[in-house]
Amino acid sequence: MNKVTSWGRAHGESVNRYINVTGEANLDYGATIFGNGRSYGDLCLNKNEGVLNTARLNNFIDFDKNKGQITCGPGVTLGEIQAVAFKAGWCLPVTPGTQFATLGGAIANDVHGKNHHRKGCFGCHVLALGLLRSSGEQYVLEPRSNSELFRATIGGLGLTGLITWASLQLMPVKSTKLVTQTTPFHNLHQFFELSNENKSWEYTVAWLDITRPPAKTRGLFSKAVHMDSGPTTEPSRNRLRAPLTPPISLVRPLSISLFNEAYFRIGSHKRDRMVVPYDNFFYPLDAIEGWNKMYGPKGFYQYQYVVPKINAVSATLEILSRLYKKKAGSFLSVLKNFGDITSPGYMSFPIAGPSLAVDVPNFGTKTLRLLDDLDIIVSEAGGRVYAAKDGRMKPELFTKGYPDLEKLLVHRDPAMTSDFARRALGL
Amino acid sequence: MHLVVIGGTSAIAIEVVQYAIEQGQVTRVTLIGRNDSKVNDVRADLEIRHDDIRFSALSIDFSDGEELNSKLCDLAETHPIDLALVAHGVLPAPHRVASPSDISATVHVNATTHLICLDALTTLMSDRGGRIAVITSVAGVIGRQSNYLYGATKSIVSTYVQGLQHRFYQTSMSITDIRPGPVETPMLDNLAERPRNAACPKQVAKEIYKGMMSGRRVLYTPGRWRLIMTVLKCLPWPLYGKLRI
Repeated sequence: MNKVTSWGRAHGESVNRYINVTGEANLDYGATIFGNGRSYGDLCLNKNEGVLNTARLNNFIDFDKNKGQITCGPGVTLGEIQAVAFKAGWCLPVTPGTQFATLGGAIANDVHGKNHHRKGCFGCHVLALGLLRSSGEQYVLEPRSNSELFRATIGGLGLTGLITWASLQLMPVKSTKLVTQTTPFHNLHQFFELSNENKSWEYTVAWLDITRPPAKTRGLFSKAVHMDSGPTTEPSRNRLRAPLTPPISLVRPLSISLFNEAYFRIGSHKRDRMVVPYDNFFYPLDAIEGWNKMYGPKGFYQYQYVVPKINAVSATLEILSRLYKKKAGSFLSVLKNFGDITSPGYMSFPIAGPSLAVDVPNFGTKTLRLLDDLDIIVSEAGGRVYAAKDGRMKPELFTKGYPDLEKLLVHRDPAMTSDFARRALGL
Repeated sequence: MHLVVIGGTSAIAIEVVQYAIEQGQVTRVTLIGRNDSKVNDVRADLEIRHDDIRFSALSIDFSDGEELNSKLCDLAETHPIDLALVAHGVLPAPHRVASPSDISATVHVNATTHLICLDALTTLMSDRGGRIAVITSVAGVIGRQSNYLYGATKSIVSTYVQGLQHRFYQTSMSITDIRPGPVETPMLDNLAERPRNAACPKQVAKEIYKGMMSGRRVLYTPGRWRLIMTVLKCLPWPLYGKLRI
């Protein structure tokens, strides 16, 4: 590919160059690392110098099947790791909502999954990683050795150098199947009750219908655990493919309302426990290749924030109220309740409290103004916005949410940058 | 079946190996390359991805034709070869007048070593039968001002393959001439202008494996290149001469 863009498709394209061999990668001034473009904003883009693509650094290096420790290059996708791991009775302890994110991207964003309350972030399970800096020096970073640079690189947004390999501790499992159960809820308090009652379930997540007045917010609370027995491989999923980019966003208030109504009704009827393959539960949207195209040529923004537990209900209600008033519907609104497990990463996003992620079509200035309003609510509640999703937040509010940003900047490789770093961090 | 890949670190070859394994017909793979460490890295990666397949890696000095021949013979003695893919090669920088040593080196890697491999493989496989595929190129179909050295080396191999196809006509062995257009691999990285419509290696690999297993004589991949090359070959010279391709 000569040019690449990010998943939101709202930030333009960057010229693309591949890295073939990590040891010989030349991190020139203004380098930005690109994995597989699954972050939503401009974290992986660089309109000035283009990006360095790690797709070809996609080799498995070692796998200790007894200990469940796997070592790979940064371009290996999480789906590839899952396929290899499950066969041997292991799986990734933390996985985000797409299997097409790369290992390097997962570390650089310190991604989280539907089990933060039990397993924390991705960085909690990184045993060691290799880092190449623009000076040519190569480091082996571990929690106990070069620990500050290790902590700066986990969630370090690609600003400390190129991750050349990483070793992970996987989680033992007996099967590729999960047992899941879905429960409808009719207001936010019910969501928090369900969340507290089901902490023993490995995975919990809620889909929210934000087209309703906040007091009547409804949604579907899903929980899942790994099955005790079953197959260790799954057949490849048949993927649908979005055939083209429509001239306008198909995601509009009317289509969102219709979809949400149908989705809630169907989901409410499926109350029994079900057995599903892991990719159905972890990666539902991956079933449609190019689903992001349905937002049209202007793309969309994903906005994800977290607020502390103490302000959980008030801040969430205020945000839902703002979204409802502006009729900023989203068919994909995901509410999670993060737990207390801290990540080693200085810039790790989760804190204990609720986190809502919404996809909003890019309708230009009115969308940006709405998101600016949400920033203020989040900031006043002591929360922060997730860099992996952000594409427009102003530096003052963004950096206020991350008191340890300075610790990342101390270890920043001066050659590394990105459109995000210039915009949101003022670098 | 035992699949041998010469040029085992090539991006297309690795995808062909993966596709072949997914089809369930291959139980053993031998990767042959010139760089010991790189070919073993590829072997280690594939072993982790496909833990039910036997992999081995061989590094060979391609500048020594005799070593190439004898290593293939030793290999076949231990594990008879059922399928073979010849995929190694270099792409010299285009639009450059080549020095005598460039010409020698390119002809050696892209043509001479291919002919040595094909001779060895056809001899070793003729008793049991089998499928051989050789990656040449659309560049070998007609000489172009931008890459005629590369094209000439591919053309040598295509003609040699045609002779082998004639020799082994209606036997249990087939040799397929694979002619890819530009494919999105490291080979394109040094081009000043990267082709916009380079094909995806996974898709090309699928077509190569299917073509090889069905005993196709000549396979263009993607298929549209057959039409494109036919048209180019039919152009009157005054027209062709004006094309800056």
